[in-house]
Amino acid sequence: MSHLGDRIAALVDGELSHDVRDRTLAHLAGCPECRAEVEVERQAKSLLAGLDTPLPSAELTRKLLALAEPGPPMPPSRRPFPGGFPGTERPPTLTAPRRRPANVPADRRRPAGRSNRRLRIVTVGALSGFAIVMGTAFVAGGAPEEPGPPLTPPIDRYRVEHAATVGGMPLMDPAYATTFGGSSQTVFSPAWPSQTVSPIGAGAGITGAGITGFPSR
Amino acid sequence: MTGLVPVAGAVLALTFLLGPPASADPALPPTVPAVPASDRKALAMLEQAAKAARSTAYEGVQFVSRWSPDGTTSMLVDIQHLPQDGTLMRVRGTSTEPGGEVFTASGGQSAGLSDTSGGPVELLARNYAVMTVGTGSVAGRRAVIVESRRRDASLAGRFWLDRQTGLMLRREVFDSRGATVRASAFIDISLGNPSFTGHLPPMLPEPWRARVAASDLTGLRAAGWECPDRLPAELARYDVRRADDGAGPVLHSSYSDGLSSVSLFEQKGRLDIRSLDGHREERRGDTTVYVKDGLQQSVVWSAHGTVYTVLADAPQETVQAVVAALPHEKVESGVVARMKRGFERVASWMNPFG
Repeated sequence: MSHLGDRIAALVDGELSHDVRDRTLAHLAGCPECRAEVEVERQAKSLLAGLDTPLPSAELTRKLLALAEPGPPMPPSRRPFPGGFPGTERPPTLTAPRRRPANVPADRRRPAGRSNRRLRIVTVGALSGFAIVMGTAFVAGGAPEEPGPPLTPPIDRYRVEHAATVGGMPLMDPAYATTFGGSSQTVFSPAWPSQTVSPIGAGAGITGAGITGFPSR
Repeated sequence: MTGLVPVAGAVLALTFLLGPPASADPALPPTVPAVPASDRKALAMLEQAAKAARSTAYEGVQFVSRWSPDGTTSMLVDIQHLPQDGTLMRVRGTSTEPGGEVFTASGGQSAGLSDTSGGPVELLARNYAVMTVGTGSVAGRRAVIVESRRRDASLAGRFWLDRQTGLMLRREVFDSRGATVRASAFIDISLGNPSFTGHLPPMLPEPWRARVAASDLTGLRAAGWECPDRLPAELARYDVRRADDGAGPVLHSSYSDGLSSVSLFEQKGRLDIRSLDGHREERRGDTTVYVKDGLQQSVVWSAHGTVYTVLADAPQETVQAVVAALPHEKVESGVVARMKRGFERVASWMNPFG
């Protein structure tokens, strides 16, 4: 049964404005119950002022230090200290438990959720990396490479050469003549083929090391 | 009764002395049936046809067709032949193939049959039984029909030879199942001297001059060139030449069985697939080849550092058998093999010393 309510603590702490303090003191002059309550409050304050500042518990210290470790950015809605960063706030007081949901144990909820999320992110990242590596290997492993420089066989020229040897054979059909379509006219340039290649005959260029001009495999 | 013993002994002795019947091709193992004997008259007519192609003056129009599982190709060719001068061939263009023309001079260096004895008729007779089977008519001219049959008696080829001059008027080639795969015939012909009107087209060039003698082949094979003596089914090599086109030496081996002709080109290197024009990719077993169809089929692939090009005027089954008989490189297929290659390649890219 308090007429003044919160104003008793505020009066003792000197936090009331002048007008409110005068009205409060005027009331105290005619109310012995309130005078008794103010006396109790003054005694509690002086008792508390005489005690050492309580150190934070080890559990709280661990949690505060864990906050300093690098980690994924916390979403704004789940900041552990909505009122500001650690160090800028008053030390936790008896009123602090009111900020947490009353029905959930304080020290278990947020850290468990954060490690689940981290595990999920790491797993997805690892799977993606694995898929990228396997995909790159699959794409890179196309047709197997063979030794030697890449070359395009001059098939139009080969067709003419084939016709030149078949043309000398009777009893063949004239299909070889169809090689000489309009686009084949270019093969009759003087630069082709190299007719200066010396013929390979008996004793010419054949040694134990191989035939002159032909690369060994 | 006792008289039978010396008789039996004499029969046995004669059997051992005479041996099995001589095969037409002694190079073949004795289990292969011999080619039945050819008709002498048919052989003589084919020899006459070979001579007439050079010595008879004529002009006419021929069609040439090829049938394969992938479709039919046909062309019309205007031909004029003057014995002293040469042969002029003008290919009439179609919607899919351009026209063209070529002139073959008489007396030019022919490929000949440097590796085989005898001429083309001899080559035909070595592989096929040749016989006359009747008469017929082509482009209004009477003709004698000559057939060539394989060892198993299946029909391989048929020739219509002009009764007057011996000139070959029509020719058909069949596959082992009896289907016509190739045909050419005059649809119009007149004998007598044609006149070459207008400017003569470019001349068919001489084949590459550098012929390779049979004695050089051992060295070539030691250096990694294939140049087989024979190819399936009865194709025998009759010419080998080499040239150098700037990218390296090229070996050209020519094969024929008297009916079909196949050329094999070998060049060191690996095939640049992207620059192949008009060829489709075909997977055959464990390997990949690139094929272009037409009157003449070309098949290209590379294996173990050599690019192989096969040009063939032959039935499809012959071309496939030829390609299968030459070296190929297995391509490991499947996801695991591909990824293994990929890892090796990526590792080699990242290795600064590799």
